[in-house]
Amino acid sequence: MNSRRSKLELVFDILVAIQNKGGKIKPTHLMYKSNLSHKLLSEYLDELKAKELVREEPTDKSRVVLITDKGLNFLAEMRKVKEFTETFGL
Amino acid sequence: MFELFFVPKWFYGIDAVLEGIVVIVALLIAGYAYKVYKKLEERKFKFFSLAFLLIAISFLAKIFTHLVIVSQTIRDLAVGTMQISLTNTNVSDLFYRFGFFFHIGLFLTALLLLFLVSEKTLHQKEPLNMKMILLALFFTFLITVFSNLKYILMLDLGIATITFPSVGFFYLTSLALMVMITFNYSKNYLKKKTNSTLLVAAAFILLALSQLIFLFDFVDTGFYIGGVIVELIGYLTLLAAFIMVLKK
Repeated sequence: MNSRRSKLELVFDILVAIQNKGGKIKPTHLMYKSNLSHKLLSEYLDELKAKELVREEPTDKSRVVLITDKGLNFLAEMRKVKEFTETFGL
Repeated sequence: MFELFFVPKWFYGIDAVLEGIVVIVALLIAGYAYKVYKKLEERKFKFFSLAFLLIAISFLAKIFTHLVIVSQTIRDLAVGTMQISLTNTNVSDLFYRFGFFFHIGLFLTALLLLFLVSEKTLHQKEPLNMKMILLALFFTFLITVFSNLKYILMLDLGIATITFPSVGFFYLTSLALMVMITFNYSKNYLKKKTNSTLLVAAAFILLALSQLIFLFDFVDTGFYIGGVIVELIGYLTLLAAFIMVLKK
């Protein structure tokens, strides 16, 4: 149960990091912003891509991670949950 | 018919409507907390949802008792009080007492749960302290039974005699629990200092105040009306905080 919560918090941090960079971020920057190892970030990104919360696009030199509309909606919902948790002291 | 609460007859339909609003507010909060629980599977959301669901059911039980009183009054008027059979009156009495037993029991259990959630004792990863919870539930049950008795305590102080109906112990217990919950939510506001946490703290101050007002309803029925109104404002304040959360 607790590992799932940590996972959700990490997912939230990843999506916030992408959103804060205008919805598009390089994987290396995302790794620093979300404070995750390369291996863990790859695992999470694979899962987020599978759930269509993010997508990857190739660039000239490497690739970028983009947040999808579904990802933005998920983030908005998670923000509400966080606000609810804080408001009702949970 | 014996009545546990001192309610003016003209107020019966009105307080049922006002308490219906409380039921809706409690169900909205319970429903959202349950939705979050299904998403995150954290037990604090489950207990929080359960607490508000119990509040909703407890108020439904109270509304049911009003309906018993209203139907009894209508029957009294239609048939004539003297002609009512003893059996009918007993059935009404039984429904009334069952309704209030559930109202008191479920409301106190809900407050107990809210207190435990606000204390963050249900947040831990460790298994629940079932012994502590069962003991608290046992005392809640005892207070519920005692509050449903017809007894009136009389304290002879020599110069004056103070009378106190047994239902006062329900108000006293709910007041104590509300004060403790209010204390926790006030601490939460002082920590977060947001408009929504201020509203929640204010809502619980009002709800605690309503229990204090109810405590004196045996002195004058006006206290009951005041208590219901303050209680409604308290739940509406809670609704305002909830809407504020959803609008973010």
